[in-house]
Amino acid sequence: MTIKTEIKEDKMDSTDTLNSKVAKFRRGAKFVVQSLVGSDSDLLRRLVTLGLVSGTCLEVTNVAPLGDPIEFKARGYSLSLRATEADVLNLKSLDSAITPLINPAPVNSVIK
Amino acid sequence: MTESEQLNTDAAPLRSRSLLVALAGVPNAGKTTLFNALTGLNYKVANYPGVTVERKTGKAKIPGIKDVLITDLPGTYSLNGGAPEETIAAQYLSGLINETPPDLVVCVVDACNLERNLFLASQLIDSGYPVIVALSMLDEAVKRGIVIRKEILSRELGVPVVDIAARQKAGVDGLAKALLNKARPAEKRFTWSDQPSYIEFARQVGQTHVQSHKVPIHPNVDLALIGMGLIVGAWKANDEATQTKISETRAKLSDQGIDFNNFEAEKRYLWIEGVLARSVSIEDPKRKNITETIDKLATHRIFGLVFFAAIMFFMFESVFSWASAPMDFIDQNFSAVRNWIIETFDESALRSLVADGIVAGAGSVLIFIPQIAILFFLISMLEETGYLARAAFLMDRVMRKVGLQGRSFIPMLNSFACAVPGIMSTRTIPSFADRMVTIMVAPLMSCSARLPVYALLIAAFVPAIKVWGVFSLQGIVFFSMYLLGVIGAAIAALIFKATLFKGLPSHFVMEMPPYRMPQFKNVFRSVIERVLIFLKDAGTVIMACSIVLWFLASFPKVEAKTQAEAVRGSYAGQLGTFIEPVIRPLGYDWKIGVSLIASFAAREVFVSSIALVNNLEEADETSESLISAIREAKDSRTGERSYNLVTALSLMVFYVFACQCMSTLAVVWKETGSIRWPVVMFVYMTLMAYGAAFITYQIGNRLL
Repeated sequence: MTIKTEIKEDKMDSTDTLNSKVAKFRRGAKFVVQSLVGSDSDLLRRLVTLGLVSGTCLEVTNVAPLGDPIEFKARGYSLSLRATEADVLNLKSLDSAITPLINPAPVNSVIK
Repeated sequence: MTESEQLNTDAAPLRSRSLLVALAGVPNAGKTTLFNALTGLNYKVANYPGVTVERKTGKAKIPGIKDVLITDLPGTYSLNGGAPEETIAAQYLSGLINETPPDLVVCVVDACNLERNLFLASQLIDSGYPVIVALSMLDEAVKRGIVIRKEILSRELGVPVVDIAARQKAGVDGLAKALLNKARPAEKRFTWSDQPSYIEFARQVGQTHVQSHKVPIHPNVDLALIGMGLIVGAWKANDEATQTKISETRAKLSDQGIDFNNFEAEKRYLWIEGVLARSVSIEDPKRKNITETIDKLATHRIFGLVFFAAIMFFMFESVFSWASAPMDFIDQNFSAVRNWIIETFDESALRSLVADGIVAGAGSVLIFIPQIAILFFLISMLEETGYLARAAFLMDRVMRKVGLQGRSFIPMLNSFACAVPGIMSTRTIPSFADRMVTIMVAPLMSCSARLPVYALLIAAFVPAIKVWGVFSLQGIVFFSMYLLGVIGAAIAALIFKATLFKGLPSHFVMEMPPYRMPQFKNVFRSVIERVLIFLKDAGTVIMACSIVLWFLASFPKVEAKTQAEAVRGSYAGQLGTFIEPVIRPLGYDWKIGVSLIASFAAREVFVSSIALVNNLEEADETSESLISAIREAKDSRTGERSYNLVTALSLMVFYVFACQCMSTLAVVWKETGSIRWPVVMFVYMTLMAYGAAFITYQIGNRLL
């Protein structure tokens, strides 16, 4: 990873708009859940109950025509989430070609 | 462990009473199909106390076992609650509500979706109930190349695993055999936890809670489950003892390096992965999934939306137009009965009560059945096939902009036909806040009962001219009323979201079930259930209201030369005269006042009522005599015309917003389980109507 991309990451963090959130969820993109971060405890509990715990692999299988919600495949079933809800998932891209841009979270922020 | 001894001694006296079996399972696991196969038509639908979550209980027809009561719990993903349905199921199974807990739990598990389904199953096994895992959709799993070794799965879980294939009813005997053999609680429980102290801590929290609340907990239920729910915050304790215990426990767990929020879910899923790795194999994993193929089209950005629009159009057309034939049939028959009574018997208060109170009231209840039956047939079909979730998926982005969510679309759309079935269909919305907001704004959609009111007033007062040579002014006014309702609903929804329902969870975390062929048995049952619930709950309220309205319109009897004078002398007429000063700024006189009160029975009654006060007997919204009568109506004091275009606009705007419908209020009362919500609805809609009509009349009078 070059210094240049690191600067880009910082910029993305500060101007993290909905569009950039949606942008990483392209059909076929694969991720692994690293942790769940957020203040909405009902939502977090719901997601872990449905199996989205650390280490779970996700694949974007569909995006609604208006760009949101997003359908994921995980643990052999399909689940749709709004981009704002998917945002509590700290994801690591499994598609190495676009890793640096897609996952702006720096490694030290990962809780587990 | 002393609990297991307790369980065994507890199981003995079961023979003396009937066996209570609970069917649990995640939504779409095939629970309803199994319930139908087990009970036939021998079951009852009721609500759980205080909430509108359905409880179905039936006697099972199982050869060789007598007195098996089956209760079909609402679908739930876990014992940690969530949507109202899930919370009730979880509270019932955790022993947190005062209900007889089951002797045995059958956990229906979708064989195509084992990993997520086993989460609930493993929680149930841990709770200490005797559990039978019933595998559904096994035929579909076979087609998908999923091979399940039942013996290994059963050994791993520690409970019997049976194949039910409920769709063919063949596997029900296997389940019956397992029931006969009286499943015992699993011997090894909590095997997923590598931290025995976690379970012990959780159990202590559960004990503290149960002691300080004196909750009657069934001896079968392991308190560790309740404790875990309290530790992760799924259940809220409002007593100090438990709260202190929870924070102490959380601190202790954190000290041991246990992430108490996620520990249970992470370890359970890890354990389930292990169990499945040993008991399930997937042959031919590359096989194309039919659901993905259909979804490529069904949620395609062009084809998907066109298909969606077509389905919605079909649905709306059925409820709006096709329901009108049976509705007319009901209407005509009730009119015929009414006329027969009036012709056959001498005039008396009793005749009037029977003809205009009871018969008319029964008619106004039954008239809703065609729309309810058709709408629920279609919704149930969409739900069974799996398309309902896709419809919500497509519409969520749009509906969210106006404070609603994807699942609100179908109830809102169908409220253009009638808010009664529309509101009843909000049960498919899992989030309490979203469902409530949808219910509160659904009656703002211009329903078919407003049509005659708009039609009459437009025909009488809006000039039939063309605007820009193409658009008819009458058509524009008509369309504007629909648009006004939609805009009003969006504003009201945003306000409700920001006030009464602020901060309540409204997530759109939704499972997308695979596409499946609908089970017509389930569809028809759902239609019959909905109709019966409507008749029993809302029907009785509507009936009572129409008798009250009949009384107001018929008493006291006054000597009068004309119909209009008789009406004016009645309580309804007096009320109309009484509110005249209030409605004067809207441009209305007592005649409109009394018609507003009368049309509370149903908005279209406005037309017959305004005809009556203008001394016309039989008239509908297209009658030339009625149109000219209201056009020419004169104010008896000033001799000027009572109504003009501005009055008509003001009145139409009033009808757009006002909750002039007792049936809607009755349904809201029964669907929300509280009298508070129909009161809130009536007050806010009436204020909105008054304000909008006031502005219309005052501005209109200055402009025109």
